[in-house]
Amino acid sequence: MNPIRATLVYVVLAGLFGVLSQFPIYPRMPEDQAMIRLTFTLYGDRMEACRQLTQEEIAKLPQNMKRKEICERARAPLYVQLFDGDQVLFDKEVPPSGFRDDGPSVLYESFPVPIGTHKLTVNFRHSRRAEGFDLSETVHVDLTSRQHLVIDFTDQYGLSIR
Amino acid sequence: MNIAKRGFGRLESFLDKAFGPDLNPLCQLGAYGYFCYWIVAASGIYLYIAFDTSITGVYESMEYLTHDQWYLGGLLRSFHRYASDAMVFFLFLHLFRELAYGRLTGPRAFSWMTGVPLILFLYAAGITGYWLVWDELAQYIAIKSAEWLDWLPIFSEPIARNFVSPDRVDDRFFSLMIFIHIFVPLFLLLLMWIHVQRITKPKVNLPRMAAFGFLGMLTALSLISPATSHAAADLSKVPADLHLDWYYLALYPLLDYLPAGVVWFMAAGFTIALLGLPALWTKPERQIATVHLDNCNGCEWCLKDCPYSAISMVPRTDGKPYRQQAAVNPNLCVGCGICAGSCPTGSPYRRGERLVPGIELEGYTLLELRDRLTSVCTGSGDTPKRLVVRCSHASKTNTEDDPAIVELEVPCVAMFSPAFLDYTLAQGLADEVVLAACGDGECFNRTGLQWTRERFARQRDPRLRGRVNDEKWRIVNAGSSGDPGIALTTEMSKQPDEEAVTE
Repeated sequence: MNPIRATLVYVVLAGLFGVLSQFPIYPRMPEDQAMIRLTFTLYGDRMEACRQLTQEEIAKLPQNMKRKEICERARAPLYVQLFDGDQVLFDKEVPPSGFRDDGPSVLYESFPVPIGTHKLTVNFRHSRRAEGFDLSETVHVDLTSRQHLVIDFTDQYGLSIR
Repeated sequence: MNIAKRGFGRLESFLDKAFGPDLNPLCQLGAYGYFCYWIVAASGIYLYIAFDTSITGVYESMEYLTHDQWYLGGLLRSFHRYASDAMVFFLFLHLFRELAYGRLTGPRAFSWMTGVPLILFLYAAGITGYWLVWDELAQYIAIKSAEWLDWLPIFSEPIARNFVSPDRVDDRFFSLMIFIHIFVPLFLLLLMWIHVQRITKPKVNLPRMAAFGFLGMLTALSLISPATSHAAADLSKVPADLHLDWYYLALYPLLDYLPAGVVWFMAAGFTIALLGLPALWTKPERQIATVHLDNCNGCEWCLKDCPYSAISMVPRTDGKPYRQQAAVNPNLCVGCGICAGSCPTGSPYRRGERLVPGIELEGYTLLELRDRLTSVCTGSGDTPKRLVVRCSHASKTNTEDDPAIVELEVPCVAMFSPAFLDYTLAQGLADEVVLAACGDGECFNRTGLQWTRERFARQRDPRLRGRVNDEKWRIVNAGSSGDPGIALTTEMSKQPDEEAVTE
């Protein structure tokens, strides 16, 4: 064994472990940018309205499956628009999940934007209507360096921008 | 692959000179991996005791350990970090070395195939560890991992939505993460155990000197550059300027620039490619060892010497008054011939119509080997001064220009038993014998060189007879880490290097 060479090998190993465990630094996002995240998990309205069953129809149902109304499972897709001033950040229909289109529409999108004041407009359609929106909101936000702004929509709290 | 093999050979040669063959880190990569695992496990137990799994306490508890208790908690945290990094380093070095030497086919395919999931479990263990600190780096990893997993169509709601605001992360999250971070490494240990099941005497324990050296290095590194946290996680901010641990997190920046599906494709492609390599690799032609019951007395020497657990002892089937007999599993036998060299009946001196030992290698039977030996030594008419018994994985000896030197190739030098050396010298077939091995610290067939050294040093059966002059033979390293011409140039005046004999 050559102690000097062995020490040299250990120094190289220590350097490899010590340096690569933290360097080079990864510049994840420039200082002059912020992040807008548009996300929701939401059920669209049913594609067809629920229908009341007649007494004859109820009578034909097995004893353990009797009910007063029947609903088709398929849900309407959600249509979402997000504008930053005049710039379109997102403009898409979000289909329902599930093999029978009976799950919620799920969205999780991120948009890096420059810091400063932004006029954000969110348009939202969850009903079966073909035109127009069920919800539309415009807010002015002042985004600071590397701020993470979340635009969320829940059944419980509605639209939130925070 | 030849370039890679030569590169590893040169590195091995350098490390041989630094540490000696027995402590050469390149020949102990698996043992280093195991040692790192134990360091990580031991340091992890202490960190777990002091770890607060509440959302408000998790970061503070790590900061307390790192700064207020730097002399123990901080030191152990650094041990935990750097030993984990070292494990990745040794794992990939081990993988590339085995690949360069083509050790992934035949019976070795089992170790290769079980080694691939080890990589995945190691990464899962390491990455979940980074989540637990709950600093900006943990926040980045948590979100990116969740976004990556969300690409799979198996979650009803994106996991990443759990990290869109601070109120969505609760104490149970860290309880779950610590559960994963403990049980994934336990599965990793199980896989590490399975990984070495098809080989005998696997190197899973570091020699004491190497362990102390490595621990000393880790201690120095931990004191000079202790592992620290980023700022506490803040889900209202995007983490920036991250000190990524590139051993574990090198793929994460890809997730910022490539679609998650592409990164899944790359990871899956890499895994499948590794798993498929043994099938694509050219399989070396191999002979299988055969047991001849007439001459097998069930002594177990071949069982003890087989590096691949290909030999087992089974109850006697031929009615002879011995308790057991050797049996070869052809699926595990690589045809190294080490068992033939270990057999006490494998002596070329034996008389009889047929020279048959208890166990021998097809294509290299005892009779064939003796005939080849006689043929190469008497082919030119004159008695050669030097016989080079060369391992087929060692560099070829250029004997063409010198009729005084002849070469006999064998699958492994351990096949050339001490009785053959005695026979060669006693019969005047050569004046001196050089055994040209394929390595110094480690041979292609794992223990072949070690057994040869011990047999010739009269420390292991079958031993070299005392009457043989030790100045008439030498064992040299003619592998990629050694000197290809050493079999021609080595001097006989010196005694064999006693230090090289492994206990």
